[in-house]
Amino acid sequence: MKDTFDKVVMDEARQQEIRSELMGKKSAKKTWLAPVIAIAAAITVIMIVPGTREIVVKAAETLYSTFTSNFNNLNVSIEETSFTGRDGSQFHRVSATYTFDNVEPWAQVKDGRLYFVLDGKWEDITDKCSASEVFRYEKVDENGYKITLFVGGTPDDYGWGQIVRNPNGELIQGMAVVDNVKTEAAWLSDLKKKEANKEFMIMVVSKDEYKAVVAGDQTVVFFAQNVDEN
Amino acid sequence: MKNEDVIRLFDLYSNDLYKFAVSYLGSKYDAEDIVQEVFSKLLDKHMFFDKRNEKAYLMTMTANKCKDHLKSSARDNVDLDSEEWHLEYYDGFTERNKMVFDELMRLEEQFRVPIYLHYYAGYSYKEISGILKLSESAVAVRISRGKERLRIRLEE
Repeated sequence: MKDTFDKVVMDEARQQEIRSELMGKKSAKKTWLAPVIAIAAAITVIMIVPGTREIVVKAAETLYSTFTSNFNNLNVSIEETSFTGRDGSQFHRVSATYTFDNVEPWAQVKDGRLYFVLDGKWEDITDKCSASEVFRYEKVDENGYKITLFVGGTPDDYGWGQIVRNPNGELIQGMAVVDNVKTEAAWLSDLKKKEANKEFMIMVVSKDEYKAVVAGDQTVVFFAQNVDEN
Repeated sequence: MKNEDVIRLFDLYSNDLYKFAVSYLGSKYDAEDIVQEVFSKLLDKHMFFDKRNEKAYLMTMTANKCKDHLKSSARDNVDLDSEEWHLEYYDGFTERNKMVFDELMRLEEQFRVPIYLHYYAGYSYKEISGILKLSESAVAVRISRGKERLRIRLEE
């Protein structure tokens, strides 16, 4: 079979044609103004992204670079679309799509103890968080983005997630993964009060939903949508 | 992803993706279009991914594009009786090459693609399960069954 497929080669002229098109292809520049919220279709996920496309892309790149060690198979794509609303207004939308494979949460329970797991290192945090307190791991990347990984609760009832703030200190992404999204734990309520505000929210998903996402069957899509007043 | 990054990937992997798409679709022209769509998507969607997994990710993108193409054209194997088919491929083939190629392409897609990935492209069952989004056991079964069918056909 090897000998056979060695002879199946792409037409050189067609290859050059595609290559030339890729070299000359450009993405249109757009102006971004105020952020609004959108909800992903597959699961209840909300993320607010600040107004400029550059920030959206930077945030996605930051998440990507920061969590590559943890999310070994994380892939991110940014897509821009434009459309006209019913009243004739022009809208632009940026969506950052994250697809994961084989993602292990950074909260793990082993032998009745709760651990924070990062880069293969297990830290026993059973006594560092509780039903009303969270354990935090914070890191500021080279671009000034502050990433907080948190774990809250007890070995019997725990949750985990992440918060990302841009260099201006604004919350640009927050996520919490919990057992029960309907009954909010004290640690999560407290976290929301401290970290979120009416403009920036922390999305909450169940562990089952998270598993479904990371199994590769679904893609989590975060939207930033802006009105172009030009 | 910047144009120069996409070009680097194109120069490195376009032929591998092309062969893979041929094994999936059977058509040279469709395979060329799929390769173009994959790399255009990298630019259109500003995609970026871990360099360690870049080829596997491109293979998965190609597989997804091929699946969509097969769905839209509602077919899973190749019409080897068409004149177009013969004109497309046999240049430079020995009789043995023709026989192997024809019989492989006559296999159903579910067998053909894993066999190509394992026996030609050299991927492990685990890697194939990642590319095709199948369980490793499903990959093993498909390769085993496909290989048996191919063996019988080549012996006939």
